[in-house]
Amino acid sequence: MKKTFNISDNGFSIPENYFESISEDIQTKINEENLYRRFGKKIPFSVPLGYFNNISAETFTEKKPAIQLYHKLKPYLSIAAGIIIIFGIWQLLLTNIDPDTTKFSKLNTDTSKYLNTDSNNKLTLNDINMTDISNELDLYIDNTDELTLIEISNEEEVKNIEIDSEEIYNYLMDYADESEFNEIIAGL
Amino acid sequence: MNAANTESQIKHHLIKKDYTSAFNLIVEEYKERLYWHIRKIVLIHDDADDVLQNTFIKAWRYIKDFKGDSKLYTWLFKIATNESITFLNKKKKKNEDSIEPYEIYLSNKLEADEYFNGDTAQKILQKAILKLPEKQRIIFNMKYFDEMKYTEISEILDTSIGALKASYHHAVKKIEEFVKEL
Repeated sequence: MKKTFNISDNGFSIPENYFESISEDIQTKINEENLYRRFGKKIPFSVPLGYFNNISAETFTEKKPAIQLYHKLKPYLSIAAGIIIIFGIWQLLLTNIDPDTTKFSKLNTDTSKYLNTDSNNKLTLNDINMTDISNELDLYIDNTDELTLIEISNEEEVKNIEIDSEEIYNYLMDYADESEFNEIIAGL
Repeated sequence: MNAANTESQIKHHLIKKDYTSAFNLIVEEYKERLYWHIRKIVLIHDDADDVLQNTFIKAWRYIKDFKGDSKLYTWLFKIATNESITFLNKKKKKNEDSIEPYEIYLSNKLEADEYFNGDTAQKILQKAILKLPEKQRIIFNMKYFDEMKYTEISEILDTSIGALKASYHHAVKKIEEFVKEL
């Protein structure tokens, strides 16, 4: 039977659950003794010669400025990194997701010399000369027939072109409506 | 100068806000005890040296916040234990890709360590201790080698005395079984 003491009997007290764990404590002590007899308690490690003599408070306090600077800058570094990441993602979206925007901006650069804004801030066309048109057509028109037509659009050359009646008839049949057709035939 | 005198002297410097003098005394008084506490957890000298430095750097950084509610000794051992555990966890994480667990790696490294000068029996004991779960290993070292009281260990590890007793009991039993197998 467990015997317990309390303060009213003799002034002593014991830790809570003392007697409940005592058998386990004794068993632990026995096992510990066994380990001690076999292995001892010597710590089997060593240190380089003079190791502890080289450890002084200065070694650690000298590192203070770098550590403090890092800790002071830490929140600002996080903010800066965040801004850079957001800016990077924004740039990525602009260049990759909307390719039309990129093409349009290129077009704007090319056509800016033809466009102007007047005093009311309305967009107007500048003077465009034949050389500009020719240059643009050279860039964008691949069809040889179309180019031939443009090249002969000089008045003298047009006068010298010979077209037979069958070609005129076929053209009118393809493109003119009935009233236009009758008008042209009457003129002939 | 005994430990109690040094501790009261350190506290006196802290009250006067003379942190440099307090820290000088702390390093001189505790460097060896903290080193051996750390070394028993991380085992390798170079690792123990790294952790000891981190411990003192942290102690210096937070010395102004030390309120004196707990013993300086408890406060420092708490920092050292946490730094050792953090260090081991980092090493384990780095070792994740490796086939052998970090404990096996440590066990093999221990044999090649030039600063391990134990005999065969001590090597067997260290290998058996390495097989314990991390917290049980720390408790075993503190109780078996350092002969610390359960109340002190309880303050350092923030664990109840009952849990510590149970943990130590299991640790001793397991080590006995491990060494029987060898």
